Amino acid sequence: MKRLNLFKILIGKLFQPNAKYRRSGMDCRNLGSMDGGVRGIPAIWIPAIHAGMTDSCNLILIGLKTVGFVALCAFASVALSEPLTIKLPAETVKLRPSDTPGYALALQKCAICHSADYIEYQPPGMSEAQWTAEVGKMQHAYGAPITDDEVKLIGAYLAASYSGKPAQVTGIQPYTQPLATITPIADVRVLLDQNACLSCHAIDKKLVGPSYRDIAARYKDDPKAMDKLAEFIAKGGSGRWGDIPMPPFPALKPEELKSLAGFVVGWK
Amino acid sequence: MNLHDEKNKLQRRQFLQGMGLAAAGLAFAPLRSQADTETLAFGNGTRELIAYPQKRPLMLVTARPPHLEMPFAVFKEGVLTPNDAFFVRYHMPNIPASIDAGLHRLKVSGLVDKPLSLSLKDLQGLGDPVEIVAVNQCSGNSRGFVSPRVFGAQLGNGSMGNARWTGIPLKKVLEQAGVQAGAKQVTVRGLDHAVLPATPEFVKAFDIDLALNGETMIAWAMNGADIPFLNGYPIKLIVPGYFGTYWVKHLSEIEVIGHDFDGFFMKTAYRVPDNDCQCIPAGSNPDKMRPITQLKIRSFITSLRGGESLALGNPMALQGIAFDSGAGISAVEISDDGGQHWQAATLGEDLGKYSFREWRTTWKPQSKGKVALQVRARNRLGEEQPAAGLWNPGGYAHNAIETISVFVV
Repeated sequence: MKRLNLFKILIGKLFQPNAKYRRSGMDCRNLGSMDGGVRGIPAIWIPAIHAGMTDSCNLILIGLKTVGFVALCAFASVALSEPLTIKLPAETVKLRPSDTPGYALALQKCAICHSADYIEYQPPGMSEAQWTAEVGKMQHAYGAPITDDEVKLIGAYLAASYSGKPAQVTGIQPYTQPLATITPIADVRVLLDQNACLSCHAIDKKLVGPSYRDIAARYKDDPKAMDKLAEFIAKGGSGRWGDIPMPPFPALKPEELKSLAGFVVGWK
Repeated sequence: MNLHDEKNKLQRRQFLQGMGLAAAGLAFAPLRSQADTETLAFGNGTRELIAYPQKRPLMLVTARPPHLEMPFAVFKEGVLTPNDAFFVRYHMPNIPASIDAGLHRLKVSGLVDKPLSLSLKDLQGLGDPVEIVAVNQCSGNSRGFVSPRVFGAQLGNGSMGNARWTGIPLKKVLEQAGVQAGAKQVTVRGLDHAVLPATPEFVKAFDIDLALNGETMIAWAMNGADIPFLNGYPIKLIVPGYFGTYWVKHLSEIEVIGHDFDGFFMKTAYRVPDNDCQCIPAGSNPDKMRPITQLKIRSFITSLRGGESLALGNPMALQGIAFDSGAGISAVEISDDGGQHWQAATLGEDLGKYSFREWRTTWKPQSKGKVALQVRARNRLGEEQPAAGLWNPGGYAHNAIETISVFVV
């Protein structure tokens, strides 16, 4: 029964023009349990840990004369050191839009570390004090780059948008300035620091996002590189370098965006 | 309290809405398929079902860090939880996207005679592999059912699973390194990292005795196959009887230390009130906390879903699972009268003291209308489940007697 399933899977994959299993080293032992892949969800490549061809492959080689199968298993057997690579589904939940100042802050800061579903699925009816305490935990326990005032603004936004309660921010001044202007911007290093850019990007290597050198290389011949990069930073998004989204930075002013874009293209 | 009724009501309502639209000739409207979501029986409990790599569609708790819960109905499939349905929980957003098992290394350092850097092959060469069937349960499993609700991942009962783990005892690895006098704890960590330098890394710790007990192990196989990527490929720490927070994925570093580790995920997070019940009055603040450690005794009915209709007087087979932290399940009982009378169930095959223990019995619905079926377990130490949920600020270790409601017609 198990072997039959394996054959079915192999046959199916062999005749799919875009079959992802054919790409690289796989371990035939695991095909039977790869329901996910069989149903056509994200690509996954299973490497063999142990040297040598697996029993399943041998069985197939003995049992079938189809050239395709032989080629498939031979391929599997020569590509043993391939890593196991996964591609995660895209994030689907977005923060609930709001006119409150905490919304822009939340877009920018919360998304650095976690997707919006973490907020979306919290229990209904949490109070503003509870939400604010939770945001405070993000600041104090997890090192989120937010100030005490921002904690209150984000807490007010979350309570208003997720618990159906009106925002009641007390004890602090109404938010009138974009975050990036609270401290005068001295240079690009301050911008990088204040917006936690370097948490996800490095100059020379890929972290969560692409390296600045890779970005600069991609846009080196593009006359509109500066405008495009400024827009990408402001709006965030995903798909240009993979599926992990970059949060938008709507509070940055045009000259700050320009300054950051200039910094990035400078690494070419 | 009848959560399962609520859930059933919801499902029926969704179904009726669908029927209504169809009847009104509006069936062309893109109705969301029932298969796309699963609704847990608490407020704001609807989850999308999404297929992640090597996984069948599971309930999406969070996309980043990935956190997936198994729909409870899967427990019907057998006493071992299928790899492609086993829950997934990461703490840090920066998880590896690609791992070469041939290049992966486990470092052993600290108070040892000989620091090690071991490949998977090295680990497999340290001795005969051992197998153990053990439950891995998230500390916050069932958090959505605690009252009053608390922040955190809002989980139903599917953030647990039972698997056969194959690997090498941690003891063998530590013997190879030579644990020095003065060793008090080991710290363990894997390949997942924070994105902000200010965020504490996910490092766990436990006493050296637990590390050397011969049961704590480093596994490379789960139910006879490679461990799925999102469950910790290529090696995962298995701490039988302990909550999943200690079962570090993509295990990469072990350090032997001479003191009690004071990292964030021991000293601040994953803590319970420091008393016997690990509980305090709902909504209050605890005086003293300690790290969460061992599983509490639990039992579930898996063969029935809340809201099902059953025929009066028709004897029917009931089935389920029970587990504790390793004392071993000694009895499972069911009640259909609010706990006044209890009927003993027959325990199934014993796959080991850390495994789910199956149970079955025959139950005859005696009265018409809504019937609340309850199940409770007892272990060899005489420990039982509380009638109502015990509360703690983290919503951890929920283990109240479970109730499902059915309709006898």
